[in-house]
Amino acid sequence: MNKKENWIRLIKNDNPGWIGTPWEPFKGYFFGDVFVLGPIQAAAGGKRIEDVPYKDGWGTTWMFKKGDPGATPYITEENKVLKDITKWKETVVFPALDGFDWTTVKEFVDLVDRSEYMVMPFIPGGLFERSHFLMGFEDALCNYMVEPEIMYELTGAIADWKIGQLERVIKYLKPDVIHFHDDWGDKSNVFLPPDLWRKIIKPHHKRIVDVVKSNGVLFMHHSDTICEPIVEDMAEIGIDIWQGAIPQNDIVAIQKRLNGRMAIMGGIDAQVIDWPEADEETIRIEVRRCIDTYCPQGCFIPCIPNILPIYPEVRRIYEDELINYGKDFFKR
Amino acid sequence: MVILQEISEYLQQGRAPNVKELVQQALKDGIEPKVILEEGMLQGMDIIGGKFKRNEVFVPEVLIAARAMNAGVEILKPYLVSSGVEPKGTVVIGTVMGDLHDIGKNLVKIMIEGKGFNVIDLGVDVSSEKFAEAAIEHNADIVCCSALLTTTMNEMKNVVVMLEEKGLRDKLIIMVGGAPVTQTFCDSIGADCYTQDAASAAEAASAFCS
Repeated sequence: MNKKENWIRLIKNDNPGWIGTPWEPFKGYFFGDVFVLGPIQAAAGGKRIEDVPYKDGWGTTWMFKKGDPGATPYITEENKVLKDITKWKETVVFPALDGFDWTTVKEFVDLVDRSEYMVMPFIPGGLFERSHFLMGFEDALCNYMVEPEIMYELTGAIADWKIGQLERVIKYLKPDVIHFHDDWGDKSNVFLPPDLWRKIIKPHHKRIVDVVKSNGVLFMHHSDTICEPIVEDMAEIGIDIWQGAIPQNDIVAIQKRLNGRMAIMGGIDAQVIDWPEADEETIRIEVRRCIDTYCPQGCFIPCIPNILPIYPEVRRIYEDELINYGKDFFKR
Repeated sequence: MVILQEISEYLQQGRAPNVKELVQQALKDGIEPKVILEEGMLQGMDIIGGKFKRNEVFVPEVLIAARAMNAGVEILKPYLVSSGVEPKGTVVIGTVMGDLHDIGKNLVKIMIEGKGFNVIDLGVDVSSEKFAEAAIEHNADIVCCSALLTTTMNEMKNVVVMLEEKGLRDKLIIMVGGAPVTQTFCDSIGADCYTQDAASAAEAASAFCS
């Protein structure tokens, strides 16, 4: 059994051989050899400049502060794209989907041995995230409450764009898995009241998942937040893997509720281990706790919810413990 | 009084136009501005804050309630000033230098305003010098520091040190929060208070200034 076969067996709870590092069967050239970044995403994400505000393809302003693990939306009253939600059709400009040169990324992807490795494009900025990138977080949340019909229209249009993007990504890269980002909450709760999420986000998100799955591609949804109130909905619309399950969710209870209908990646408490001065024993104990607590139920891959540890030394110890403690886990 | 109860209820529902209308009506009825503020609006925010803490309502419901409160406060403000009503205290709040995340910081701001504080929001990427300058300028009772990243949270220590250097350490309370922050971290940097969520932060601030 190779890494790819084992990984698939882990998410399907089908007699996996071992627990390893969460991304071991993925080949990419972005973000620690995990993801592949296509040209539409590269263009729509904008040209990142350190410590200087820059705009993405939607007009949203971002900042990438030196030393930070990623860029952050930097939205002010002055620079927000959408100041009046009722005028979104006249205001929001959707980035181009065509006219890109796919040659380089296609050449890279063609070199991946698909019998052993998988290709997973990175698709950040889901419906909820993009809505607040356009108008700012507070305006977005208020608009979801007071203008739900308009927000349904807007998120529907964003979903149409995402589908266009995914159709092209699938056509050119023939991925095995789509890694789709949309953070739906924080460590306390989901942001939108679940019924509102079901009314506005869920139907459009299902359309996206349907397109991916109808092409035989696995759908991995990243939300490193509480998702407990909506996990059954996530499984119902066909999400194969929820990546980012923070331990503030009752993961064991979720596993019982889902009964294998959606695999989960996560469980490691980044708050405990991902520190510059985190001690080795603490990291190893947390990795073992995660494996022992969540792996026996199956359909689970231990993983730091925010994809990879920020600090290299933390990552080294975390991966070492996953490999060493995980290699014989299913034989014990 | 029924009208105060109605103000509280409309505020909890985030219905700003109704709150404004009833605040104007209450003033016409001769109710003291301080009473309208405390027994109508702040009481409504208190209920929303409690529900939020118990996960009975979600962030958007808190936000629209806060916007309704702000609409009412705009009408009340001149009356509060002329009748000499003082805020419960002054809080200087910001996200520390190097960090641009403001969702948590803004929630804490809203919750603390809902307790009747004057809040000076310094925004994001705020240096320790700016925290200290604002604390001096506004005679702050509390300084609240937020950080979302483990790469930036150590900046909170610099804020504590700066406030010490400026001779402010014993004159104000330093509160810290954000996803990676823990009580252990709070203790290690010499801050006064860590809370896990925005509603608890507001309760703690209120307790410090009661």
